[in-house]
Amino acid sequence: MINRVLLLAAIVGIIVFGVLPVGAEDEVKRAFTDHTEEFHKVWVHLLWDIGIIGGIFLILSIYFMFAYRRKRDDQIGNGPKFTTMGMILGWALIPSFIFMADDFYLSAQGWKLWIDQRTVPENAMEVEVTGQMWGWEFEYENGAISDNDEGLVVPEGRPVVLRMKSDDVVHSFFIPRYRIKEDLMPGRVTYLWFYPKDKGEHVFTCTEFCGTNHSEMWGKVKVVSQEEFDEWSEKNKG
Amino acid sequence: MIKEWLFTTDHKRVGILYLVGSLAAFAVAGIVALLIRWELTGIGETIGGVGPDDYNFWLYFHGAAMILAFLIPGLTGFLANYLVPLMIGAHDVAFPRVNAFSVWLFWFAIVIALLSFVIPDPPDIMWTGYPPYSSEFSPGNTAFYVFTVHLIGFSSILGAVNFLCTVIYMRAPGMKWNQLNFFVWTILGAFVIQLIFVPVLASSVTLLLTDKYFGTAFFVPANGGDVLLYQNLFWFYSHPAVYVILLPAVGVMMEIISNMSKNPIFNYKAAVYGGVWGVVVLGSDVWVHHLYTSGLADWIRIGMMVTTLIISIPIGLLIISLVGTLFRGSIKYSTGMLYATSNLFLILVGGLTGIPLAMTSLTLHLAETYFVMAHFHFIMGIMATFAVFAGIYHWFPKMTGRMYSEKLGVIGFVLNFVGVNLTFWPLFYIGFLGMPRRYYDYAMFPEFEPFQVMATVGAIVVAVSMALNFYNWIVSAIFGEKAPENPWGSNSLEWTHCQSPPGPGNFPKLPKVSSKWHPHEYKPQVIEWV
Amino acid sequence: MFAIRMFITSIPVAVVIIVITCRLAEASYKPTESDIDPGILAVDEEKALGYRFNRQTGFINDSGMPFRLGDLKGKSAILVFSYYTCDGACPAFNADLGRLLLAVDSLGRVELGKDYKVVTLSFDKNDGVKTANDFRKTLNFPSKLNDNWILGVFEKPEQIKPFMSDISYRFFWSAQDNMFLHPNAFFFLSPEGRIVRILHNTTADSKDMELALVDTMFNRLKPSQIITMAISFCYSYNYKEGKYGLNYPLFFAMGSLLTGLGALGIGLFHFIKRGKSKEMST
Repeated sequence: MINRVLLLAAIVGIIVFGVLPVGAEDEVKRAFTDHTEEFHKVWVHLLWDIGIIGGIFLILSIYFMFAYRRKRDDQIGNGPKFTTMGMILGWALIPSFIFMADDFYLSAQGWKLWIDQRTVPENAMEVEVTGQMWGWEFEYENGAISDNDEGLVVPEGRPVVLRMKSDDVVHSFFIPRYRIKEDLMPGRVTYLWFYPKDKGEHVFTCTEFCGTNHSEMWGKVKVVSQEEFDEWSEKNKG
Repeated sequence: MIKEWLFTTDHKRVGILYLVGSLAAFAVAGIVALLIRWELTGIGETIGGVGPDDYNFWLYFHGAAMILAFLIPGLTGFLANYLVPLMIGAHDVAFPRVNAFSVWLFWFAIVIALLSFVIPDPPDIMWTGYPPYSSEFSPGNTAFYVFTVHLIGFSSILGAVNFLCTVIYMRAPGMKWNQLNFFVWTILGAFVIQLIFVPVLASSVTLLLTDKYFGTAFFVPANGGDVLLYQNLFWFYSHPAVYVILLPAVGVMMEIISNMSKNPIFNYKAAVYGGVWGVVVLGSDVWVHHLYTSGLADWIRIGMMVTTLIISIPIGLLIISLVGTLFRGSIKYSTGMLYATSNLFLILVGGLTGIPLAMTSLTLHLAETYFVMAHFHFIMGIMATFAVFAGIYHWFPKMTGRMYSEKLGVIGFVLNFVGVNLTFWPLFYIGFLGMPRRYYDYAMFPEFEPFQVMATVGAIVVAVSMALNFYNWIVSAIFGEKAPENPWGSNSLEWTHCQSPPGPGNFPKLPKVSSKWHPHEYKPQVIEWV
Repeated sequence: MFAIRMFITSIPVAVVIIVITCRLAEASYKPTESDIDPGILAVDEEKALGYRFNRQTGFINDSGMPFRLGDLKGKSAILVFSYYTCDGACPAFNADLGRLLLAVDSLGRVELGKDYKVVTLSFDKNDGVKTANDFRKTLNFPSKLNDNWILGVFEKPEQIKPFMSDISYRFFWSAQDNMFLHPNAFFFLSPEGRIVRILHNTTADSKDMELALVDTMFNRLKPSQIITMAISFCYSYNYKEGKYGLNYPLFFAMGSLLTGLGALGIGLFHFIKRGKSKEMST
């Protein structure tokens, strides 16, 4: 019975660590194609990275778990003895350097993407976002005002920077489609920017717990054409 | 009988009291988790009459109780109390009365936490309790949260002083530092973290209390307070607290894996001095990864990304030792060993999904979603719970003198393992697609309903397995077969030198160990009796 | 037993610390009275914070050269609004700023010119290069201030109104007093040109000025400024008073951390000492 359990665990493990990165890559390609592309490159790299590390450890441990089962009752293990300093340090330092190299590789990748994510393009349209329990208010450069029922209406093809503050508690503005979020809080001003390349409607939500109706603090980012946007913002002025 | 237990100063009884208290908290918080999952099976109100406020209270209770009242006391209270004096060959801990005092503090904390079920405005501030919500806007009684933290914190500081003294001064004659059980090392590491960092958490929640009830403005920006400071202080303790849970959990795994494969620990010295102490040292400067989206300066976030990734080095050393100990072993599977080896899978999944969360740029998307939630449930929730369960099963014959039912144990394990995977893999997936945490309702993502249902089915499977485990323990403790003195063939002092269960004073004769002895060596050796 | 005694003696100390900290926090909690009518002469801080002035609006400086706010790229700036024909309040207000900045300079952590510049803009459409020149002469600054202080007027007078109203900066001509009434505020701009902090000459001192300047460049740390950054962590801005105050919770937490570290350290010290004396006796 125990053997069967182990076999099942092995199959699950191989599927998870072997197939997941491949499957996820397809998913990523299908769903996202605009300025979040760099995000997905890093994400897929990372899935491969952790898939390989996890796979090695998992396959090794599952192999050991099968191969070294106890044959006789009085049998004892015959594992390596770490008697010399060289062996102890070797087995500590070599893996450490491998892990560290991988850490720095991932840091470099993450840093590069981070700079993209935090450098607001000069021509970005600015929208002032105010969070309050439990809703959002958006104020545009020309004085147009919107809320979460109306949605965050933005023209396609122009980066949008959100200047965010909160009236009461900590909130967080999250647009899953654009892979971005940042907290809002009283007393500080925070930013995030995104690039609505194509028309469409995407969900935004609050992701920092803010009380009873936390889960009602959501709405849609509506990406429309420039003409529709101009018409809309004229109508919602003041 | 009752009086005996109430006034006991025996570390084994104190340990059992910790076990009962933490399992009680685990059971209640687990039932609450089921309710949470049930509520999430459908969009909108799923359980009749349950509104968002009830749901938010459940979330608060589940988080606070599982971490503060189950995982930390279960590992550093129960297992440390029961095993450390036995493993180092001491007749008790250094300050037995302080020890008894700390277990009762812990029980009071549990009572206060449970009281929040009956008070009119239960706290709803999540276990993080961020101001200004917790200090100005929440209708709930923040004080219940603060006092729970105070009592449990006080109890762990006392525990920390006690156990550090015990291990330093009360080892068996002849026992060198490198002859300590691995579990003892991890407990030392965990208690050093507790001793240094618990005061920080205690002081920051105290300031929260004065803000809420005495009108101070420590965290009110309009009057000169700083909102972000609380978050920093909170995670300054609470991230190391994750290692307070992780280290003893790894310690238990290492003990069991080494014992059941009758193999010395693979590179013991590297795992102790690099792994355990590396985690203790590095663990204190990575807390900002909880605040990647909180509006701190960009360079702080990048700096902490590097330190957070670096923590993979000591953790990697620990995992190498865990896997390496299986190499050329002589592995026999008991229920405890199944829990310990399956933990390798959980620690890999949980640990490796932590790597994207260490990277600021990916966390901008992943923070505060179900992805994070699934990640920390794997590494902290399930991994540590499995470790506690493995510990209970492995040392069950020691604690009760009786054998548990292996068959029920294995069935329970299989259900448990399948259940947790069924619960949390769908959550990884919808988390990546943007499902936010702590949502009562998810009307914005109707397409996630099937995944939520799948997770709930998993949770029910886990609940069945928990029922089996509890049944197994209770029935076996009373009616189980008599266990042999050393059922696992261990070489550790608690198995070789004392009865099951150990009598008062633990050892008939205090053990003395030779320099050739090691708790994780399984060669036939000469044991000196004094 | 030593540890327990330590612990018990630390309780009264902790109580004293708590009481003192609460008193301090209470003191900082009291709002101060201001003699400026907030309705007319205050800037809407809520609205202005984080705002980015139009980078392309053209100005002319007092030597007749055109410039834009975008030209300051990469440097923080302090922006003030005045008008140059003013004979009392404005020169005094600018001189105040100069005095404060010299005091900041003498602290040696943030340097005028290297780290930031000062820009005075006139909102009076009648001002021109000549009045700006006269204004500079009236100010009669030492060269350090003079070289890094830009006096500007709007290139196109019709841009004045929208530029100022975006941050709700209200000003009007009082015929009765024969002068402009306007808020005397210092706008601290980040290198990206966003308003990070607004201080007033009535409340701010050189410490506030320095901390506000550090706030503007906080996102662009230079390793040499690490101590300056650390100092700024110790303070937090009080919106009600318009001043920086000590960040009490941080000290409280630091105290707690030191308690933990101290307990561990003393324990270790005793352990090592005992170990040594044991060795000696055997």
